[in-house]
Amino acid sequence: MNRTEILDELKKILAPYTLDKEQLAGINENTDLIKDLKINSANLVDIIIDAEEKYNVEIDYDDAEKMINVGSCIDVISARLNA
Amino acid sequence: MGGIGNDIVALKTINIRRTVSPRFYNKILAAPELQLYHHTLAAIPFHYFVWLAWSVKEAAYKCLQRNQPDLVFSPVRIVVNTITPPTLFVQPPITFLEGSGFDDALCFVIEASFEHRKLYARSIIYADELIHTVVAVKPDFANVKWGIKQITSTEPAVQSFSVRQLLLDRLMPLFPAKDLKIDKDPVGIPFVLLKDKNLPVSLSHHEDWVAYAF
Repeated sequence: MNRTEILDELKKILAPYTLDKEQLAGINENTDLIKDLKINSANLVDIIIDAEEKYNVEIDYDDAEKMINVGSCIDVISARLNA
Repeated sequence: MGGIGNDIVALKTINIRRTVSPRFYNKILAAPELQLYHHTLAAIPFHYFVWLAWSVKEAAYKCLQRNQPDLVFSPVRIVVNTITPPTLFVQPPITFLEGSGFDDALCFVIEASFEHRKLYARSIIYADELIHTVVAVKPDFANVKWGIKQITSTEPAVQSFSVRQLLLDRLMPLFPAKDLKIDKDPVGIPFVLLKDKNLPVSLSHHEDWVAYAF
């Protein structure tokens, strides 16, 4: 999967956790999950688990702590898929 | 160096089934915390414990970030070391609660650590509604002021406005001559500018609950 394909799938993972659908529709690699999408930090682990299930990968906590914005999420997912 | 952080978790929104799965809680809890639960806290439901620990870690991160702005939040690296549970529980119904200091009979008295630093916490679990935690770098909470309130919306803009209003309502009688304004530093850490210093404040919201501490 290329980065654009991962981003499109990531939008679907993030959708249940943000009320700001307009921001979600326009996300780019710099979009911050908490500051821009207003995702509550309590949902960050949910997002990691959803990504693990979607891509059938394991994201350990060294990787999880990097997942702050959309670009870093794509980095982690991409690295796991290619591992 | 001083510091304070708080966090609130709206328990009615959590997914209990997911919370109790190892895949989920292993991303939050360090191994010694699982032992702590089984040895001393097994009387409380495990999903409460997971979110209590989360709340301590999130509040601890906010507290630590004041002096370490580039700190990355990694829940398993902030470790809850001891927890003394309350002997009494906050009775429902409650939609608003404020305090100065904490009655240790009503809250979880907690010590945590991050690397070599020791942190102190007080947490309240209110029925199936919420967990609110305040973390400080000093063990004495006598001068810590805090408040929680249920609001009628879960919209982020309303949460943000409501928690600021709640805090300002608490601050105004304490600093009556001042035009109080809640500001944020470049990293996003909130403070109130007073004449001679910045007052560190912590704000949190989750679903229809908002909370502050300073």
